[in-house]
Amino acid sequence: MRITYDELRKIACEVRAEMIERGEIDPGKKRIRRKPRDPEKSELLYRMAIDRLEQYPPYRDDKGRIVLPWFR
Amino acid sequence: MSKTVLKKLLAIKDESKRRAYFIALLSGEIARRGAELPIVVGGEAVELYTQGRYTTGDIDLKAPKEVFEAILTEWGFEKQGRIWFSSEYGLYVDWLGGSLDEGEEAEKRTNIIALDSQNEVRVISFEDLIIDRLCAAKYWKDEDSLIWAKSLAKIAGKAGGLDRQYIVRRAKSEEISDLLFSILNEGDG
Repeated sequence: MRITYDELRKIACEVRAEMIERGEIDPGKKRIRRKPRDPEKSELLYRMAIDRLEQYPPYRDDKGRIVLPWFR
Repeated sequence: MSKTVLKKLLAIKDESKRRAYFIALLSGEIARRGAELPIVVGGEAVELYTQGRYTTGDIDLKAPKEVFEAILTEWGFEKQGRIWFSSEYGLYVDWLGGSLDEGEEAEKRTNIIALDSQNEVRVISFEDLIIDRLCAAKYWKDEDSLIWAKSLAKIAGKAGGLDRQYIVRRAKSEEISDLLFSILNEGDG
């Protein structure tokens, strides 16, 4: 099968909206991964987190609130 | 192809799309050197099919080892075990082998996602990815994986349909037919 990225995006958005409407997905529900990760993957995710922290270091704004630039 | 092309990736704000373009550039270069297109698997495949709804941010890839390693070395990536990364570009590739664990038939069933007229990525089929998620749901009690399997089945249904004969056969061999029918009987796929 061959499909374009934009077609897929449209379909994926429709499906997500339908699943939320039917209550099959709860966007507010905390997701917990049960399948364990192997040590190399865990190491990779740790490195990604550290790299992001270095590239986008958190800081406090003038009201003393913590700002996490990665999420902006 | 050189590092200058990689720099253009930094202009793509959408992280998911940026990774997709990186995979497309890597795929194009691998093909140019005469090797088989790499196959996106695992979480990145779910991410591509569900478009930014699932992510850890790393790229799970099956690719021919020698050419894959030669290109990423030329592009300035560092290697740690099976992981290749570029902190500069925020790209992390988890090399998971040269071919699909599911076998030759699964490799023939891979899908192509076209990003534009020149860039495309090869992804494990909906059917094989759904089976992978259902196995995680059954054997690791990972409820989230079941939801992703259901999402993938619905997206596949709207994107041309699932090969029911194939997926049923695979589910039977993995002893997860019960879970497969539970998601298929809800009206999609």
